[in-house]
Amino acid sequence: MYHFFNSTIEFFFLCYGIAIFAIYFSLVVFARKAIIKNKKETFFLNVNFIKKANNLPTIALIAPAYNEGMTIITNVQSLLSIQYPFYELIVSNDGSKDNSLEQLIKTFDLEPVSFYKGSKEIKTSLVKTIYKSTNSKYANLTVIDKENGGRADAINTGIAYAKSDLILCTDADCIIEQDALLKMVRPYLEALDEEVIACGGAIGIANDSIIRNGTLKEVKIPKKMLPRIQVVEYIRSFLLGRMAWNQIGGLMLVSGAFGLYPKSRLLEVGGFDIESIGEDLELCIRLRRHMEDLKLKYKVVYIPETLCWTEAPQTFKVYKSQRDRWARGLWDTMIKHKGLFLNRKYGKMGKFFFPYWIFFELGAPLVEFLGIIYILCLIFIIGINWPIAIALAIAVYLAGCVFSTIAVLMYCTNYNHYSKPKMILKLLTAAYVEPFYSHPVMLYAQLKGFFKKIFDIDTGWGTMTRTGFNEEEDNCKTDSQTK
Amino acid sequence: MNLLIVIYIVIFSLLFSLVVLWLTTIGYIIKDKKREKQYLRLEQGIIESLAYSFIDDSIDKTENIKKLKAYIKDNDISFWDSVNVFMKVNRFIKFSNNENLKFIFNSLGLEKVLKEKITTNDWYVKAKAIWMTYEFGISDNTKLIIPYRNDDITLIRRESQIALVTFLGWKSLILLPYFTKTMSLWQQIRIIEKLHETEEKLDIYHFEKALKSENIIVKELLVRIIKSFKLHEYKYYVVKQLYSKNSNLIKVAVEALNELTPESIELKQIEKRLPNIQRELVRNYLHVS
Repeated sequence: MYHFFNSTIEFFFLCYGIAIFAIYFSLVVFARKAIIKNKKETFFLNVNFIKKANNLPTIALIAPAYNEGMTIITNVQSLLSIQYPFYELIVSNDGSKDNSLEQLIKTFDLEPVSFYKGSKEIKTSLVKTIYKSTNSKYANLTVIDKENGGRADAINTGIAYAKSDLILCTDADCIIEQDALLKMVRPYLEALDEEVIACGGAIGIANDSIIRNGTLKEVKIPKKMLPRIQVVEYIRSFLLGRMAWNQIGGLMLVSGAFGLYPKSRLLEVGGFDIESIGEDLELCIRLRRHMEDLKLKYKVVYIPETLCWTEAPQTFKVYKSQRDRWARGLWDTMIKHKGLFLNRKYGKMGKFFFPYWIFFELGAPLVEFLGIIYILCLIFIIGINWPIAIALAIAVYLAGCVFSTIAVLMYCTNYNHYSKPKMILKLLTAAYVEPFYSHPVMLYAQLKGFFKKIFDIDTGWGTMTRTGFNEEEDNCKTDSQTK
Repeated sequence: MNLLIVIYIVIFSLLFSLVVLWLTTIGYIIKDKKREKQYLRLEQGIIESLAYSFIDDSIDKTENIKKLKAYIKDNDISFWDSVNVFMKVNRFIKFSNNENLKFIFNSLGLEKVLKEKITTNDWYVKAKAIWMTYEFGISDNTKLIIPYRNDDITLIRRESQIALVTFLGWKSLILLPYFTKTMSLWQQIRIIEKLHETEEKLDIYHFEKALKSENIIVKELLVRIIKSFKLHEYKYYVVKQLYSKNSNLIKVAVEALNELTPESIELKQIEKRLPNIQRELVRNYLHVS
């Protein structure tokens, strides 16, 4: 009986391990295919052609801002300089307690304007005033001053008042590449039978990179090991993960920091869920579900080029808080949409994509934790075969290194941000150090997040302390985003 | 076989894969640098020769072509690289309008190679060749392109249809009722751009033939053309589309009417006559726009 029990556990871990490696290997193949396809397609639709074109869909760029006083002006100026012929910028001031609004009013010559109630499909916190600029230079800028309701509510307010066809959701402290909108609109321009319901771009880490007047001038590898590891993590997740899922039509997540959606569909589903912590994942799944219910053909698209830059946590304290929040967001969303699990009504999403998220995104930290417990049991109670255990650990470590190396190599050979040999070497070193350095902390934070959800402990968004980009002006920042 | 040996084999394979990946990376970096240098030399050479032919009329044309030929080697990479450089130049000085450039392009044999590429089996090369054919204004290839106008591969179909509009101008619209497949917004934008570039005036006969198309996406394109060229006499066609069941077509029609009929009273009168569903959609779009 004992032997049977022991073998079953080991067989489960073996099967899970093989399944996860098989999936990752398939993702590498799909990602490679997708990158080649994307390169070929973009040849015919380069940004220079789009820039000159008429009849392009209009885009509203919504930037929620909460206590961003130290950087708000630079960030808004940067967002205003984005290249796109038809776009409006909506800054949604989410009840900031600092002087963000006063600074905006003064710098951009804002004046209150009369306003209607906004789209009735979306409920938002009370809007106090809407400002427009008296200076024609800033004609496409709108500032909405509203009561505090959190990031999702601030974006929803922007959606309710936007006049454009497409909505780009971002954060006020993100640095967006100048031609990002021209690239992001591409899938909407090329869409045929399938409607594009969401489009996401890759997000890069800009710690220690050179920023001038709110635009990224030179990408550098972060000096500290933790953000450097996150560069590899992002590359792996965006290039191997999302690009591959995009290729097989299974993309379930578009990052909240940079996602483009059709306004009409956002209104139909009621915008972001203000109760959700992982609002980006939740929205994407809800949009997909909505289209499946309507029996309409759709797709979620991912652009592999890095179009948006953000600051990654520099300390383990902030890193833990971020991963804890992401884990809670994932848990929440999976529970909310549990009806999709193996539900044939939702096609491939119900049969394959959603179960993948349950088994391998939600399940992986739990299985890893159980694996550690089992090994400890073997060591201290049952007895362990050390040569096999050590050899297995080395094999698993090397397999992880191979996948990270493939991801780094694929990125560096296709996109030119990290093309210098020294940069590649630094990234590879970070990838090989990751399993010992940041991974245990991440696992701890994820389990903590799940624990909080199981025992219903509410800690909200947590604190995201930013140390500020390497801005070449004298306005380095330290802000905190707390809900 | 012993389990430990199996794991050792796996470890060895993974280590071997890592070494292969590192070597590939090093190889790529070296190759990439070399290729970048080659391309820059080619680009500089071609642009210099083109510039000379503009500045100095006394320059011997055949000598200049010889110089250019020295840069362009007889392989696919060199061919596409050189065509790319010509495309860059074409963005500023249209080949089709400049005899000098046309002469150089033909003398280098690029036109002949493009013709061959259109008939290749590789969809990507074929689509690229068609695209470059119309960008360089090589109208001799029109007959070669016509069979691909309803091709199953989207890019080939799209580029062929744009090419036909480029070469045939307004006359090409007579083909619209025979376009059976859907069209992206980008294709519609390009078709309208190409119509604007043509020097001919609106060809009423061919345009009215096109209005008979039953294809929803063709109707959308026609509404966009009416809006873009401000064809007030065809406003009736735009109003007719408001009765469609296709919400996107209604949206495009509303946008066109907004442009053609700035007086909101007229638009409101039209709105009143619509059936309930369409009226709701029109109101929705008017509210947003």
